[in-house]
Amino acid sequence: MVLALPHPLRQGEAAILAVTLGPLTRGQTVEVATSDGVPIGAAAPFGPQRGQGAGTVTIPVPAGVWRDGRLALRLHITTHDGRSRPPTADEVKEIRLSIIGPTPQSPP
Amino acid sequence: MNFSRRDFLASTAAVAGASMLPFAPARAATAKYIRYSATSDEGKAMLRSYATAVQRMVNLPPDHPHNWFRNAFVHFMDCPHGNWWFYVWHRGYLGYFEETVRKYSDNPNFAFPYWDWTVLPQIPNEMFDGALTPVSEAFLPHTKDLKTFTAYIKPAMKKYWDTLNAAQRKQLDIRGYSSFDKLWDDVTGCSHGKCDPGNEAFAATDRARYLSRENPKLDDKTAKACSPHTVLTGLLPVDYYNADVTRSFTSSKTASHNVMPGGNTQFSVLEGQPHNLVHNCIGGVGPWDPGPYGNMTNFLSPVDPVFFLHHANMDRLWDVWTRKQQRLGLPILPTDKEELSQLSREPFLFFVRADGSYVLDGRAGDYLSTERFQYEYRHGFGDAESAQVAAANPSAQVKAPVRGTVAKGVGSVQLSAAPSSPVVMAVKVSRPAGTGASRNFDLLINAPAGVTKVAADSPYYGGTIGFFGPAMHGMADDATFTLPLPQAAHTAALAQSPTANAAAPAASATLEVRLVPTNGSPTTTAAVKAVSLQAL
Repeated sequence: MVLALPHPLRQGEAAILAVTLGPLTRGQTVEVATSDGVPIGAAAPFGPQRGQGAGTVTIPVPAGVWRDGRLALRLHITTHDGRSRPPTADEVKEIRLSIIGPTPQSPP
Repeated sequence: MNFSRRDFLASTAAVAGASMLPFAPARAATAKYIRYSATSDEGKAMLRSYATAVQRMVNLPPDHPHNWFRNAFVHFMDCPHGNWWFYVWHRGYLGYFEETVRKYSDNPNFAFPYWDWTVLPQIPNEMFDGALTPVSEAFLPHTKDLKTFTAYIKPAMKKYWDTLNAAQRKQLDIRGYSSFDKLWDDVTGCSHGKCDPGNEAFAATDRARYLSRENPKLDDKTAKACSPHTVLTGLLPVDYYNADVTRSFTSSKTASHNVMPGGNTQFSVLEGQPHNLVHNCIGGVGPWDPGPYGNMTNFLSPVDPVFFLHHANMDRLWDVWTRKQQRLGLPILPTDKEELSQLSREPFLFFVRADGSYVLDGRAGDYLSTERFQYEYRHGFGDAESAQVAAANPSAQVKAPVRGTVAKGVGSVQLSAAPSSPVVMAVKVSRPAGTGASRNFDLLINAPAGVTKVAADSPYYGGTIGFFGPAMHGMADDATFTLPLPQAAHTAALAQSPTANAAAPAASATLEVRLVPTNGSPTTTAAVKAVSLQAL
C-alpha cells in the first residue's frame, strides 16, 4: 500500500501509523517496512492472549523513508516456525497515517 | 465540562493532597530520593542494594506479603495494560515496592535505577549478577519447575484469596478471575484440560530470562522500538488521552483498569512499542516460540528483577512528557472534569506498603504525581530533546473533522473554501471479496458518472488506496485510509460549485467521492462506507 503525507513535515511534527491487528497467536510479530525493505517498526501483543484482536498499535515513521512525500509499505508476519509471510486481512485489519506535533493552546 | 483557570486557582488549595488538577505540578516539590540511570555510578550502587533486598525477599515465607513472588502476584492480579491507567497504576506499584525494597536493602536512600534502553539497548551487565537474574541459584529452590512452584506458593495464594474483600473480588471479576481456579489457570496456561504454553505465566528457573550475559542485546526490532525517533514521537502527543490514539499519550480509555487488552485496545506509541517489545524480547518471544516463555513475557513479569528498571524508565518518560507539557503551557491531565474524575477515582486495591499492610482504599488519583513517593529522576534520554521540541512551539491548532454521509457506496462531504492548512480525507472502505478482486482502488472526487478510469494528473483523481495481503475467503472487511486532499481537486470542486460565479469560487462545496479499480475492471468496485475531512 502507498501512503502520502498531506504536507511536508514541519519542525516538531512526526508521521505515525496506527496499525489495527486481528487475533495473533503468541510469537507472531507484524513487521512493517518500506517496499525496499527499510524497517519501520514491529507490533506484537503482550500478556496472555485469549483469541481476541491484539488491538491497535502506533508506530512512528522515520522521516528518511518518505520519497516525494509518499511511502510504499510492505508488511510481513513472522510465525512460530521462523517463516515470514504477508499478513492476512484478518491479521492486519487497518493502517492509518497521522501527523502529530505539539499544539500550542491558550491557557484556560 | 472543562476547567477554567478560575476553577483551577479556586480549587487548588481545596484538593491539595487529593486528586491532581490538569495544570498542577506533577513532581515532588522537594524530592527525597533520586532514581539514577542504571549505568551511572550511583545507579550501580543502587543495584547492589537491590540485590541484597531481592535475595532477602525471595527467602521470605510465601505467606509473607513482602515475599518476592507474592509481590509479582500483585501485578498478575491487578495490572492494567492497553488503557489509560497503565502509567498511573505502575507508578503506584513501583512506588510502594520501592519503599519495601528500601527496607530490605538496608539502604535508607534506595530508589530504583532506571534502564534507559534508548541509550543502552541491552540489559545492564549488573542485572546478570546473583539475585538480580531469575536464572540464578537464588530462585532455583522455588522455581525449579511448575510442580515445585505450585507446592511452594499456591497454598499461600489461596489463603490470601480467601481474605479478599468484596471490592477486591469485584475487581478480579472484571479481570475474569471469578474464582481462584480461574486465576491459577493463567499461572499454568491451562484451562479445562487445554494448555497454551504461551499463556503460562510461570517460568522455570532455567528458562526464566531469554537474554543472558553472553547475549544481552535487544533484538533489532526491539531496539528500533526503543530508538530516539520512536521515543521522541511517543512524547509528542499533547493530550493525556485522545480518542485518536495517534494523538494520545496514553492508550485506550476503558471502563475499568482491569479490562484486558482485546480487539478494541489502542496502544499509545510508548506502551505498544518499547514497553511491549522489551517485555517480549527478554522473555524470549521469537526464539522460544510458542512458549513457555521467560518471566517478562506474561503477567508474572515482576519475578524478573529487571522489570522494575524497565518500568522505572516508562515512569521516567511519563515525567519527561509531563514537563514538556508544562513548558508548552499545556495540561498534564484530562481537562474535562468528568473525564478527570473518571481517571482519578479508579480503585487500585492490591498494593502493599513497606510495613506489610495492604492499601485497600487506594485510587488512581493518589499516584498522578510523584509527590507521594518523593522521588525524581536524574537526566535520561528525552529530557533535553523534548525541551527542544517544546521550544520550537510549531503548528496550528487541530481542527474538528468534518464528517460526511454515504449513500450506495458514494461518499459526500462538505469542503470549506480556502483552508489555511492542508486537508486530509479519511475514507472507510469495504473491501470486495472473491477470487481476483482488485486490491488497489483510485478515489474519484466529483467525477462525472461515466468516468471509470483516471490518470494521476486528472482533477478528479484523489489518490490510490491499496489493500495488502489476501482477502479471507468469502469475507469482506473494512479499512480506513487517510489521504491528503489534492490541491487540484480542491480548487476544481470550489470552482464547479453551483454557488460559484465568474468573479470568485464558492465559499464551500460538496465533494462526492467514489472508488474505481485502479486496473480498470468495473466489476470489483469497492464501496465507500464513511468519509470525513480533517484540516491539519
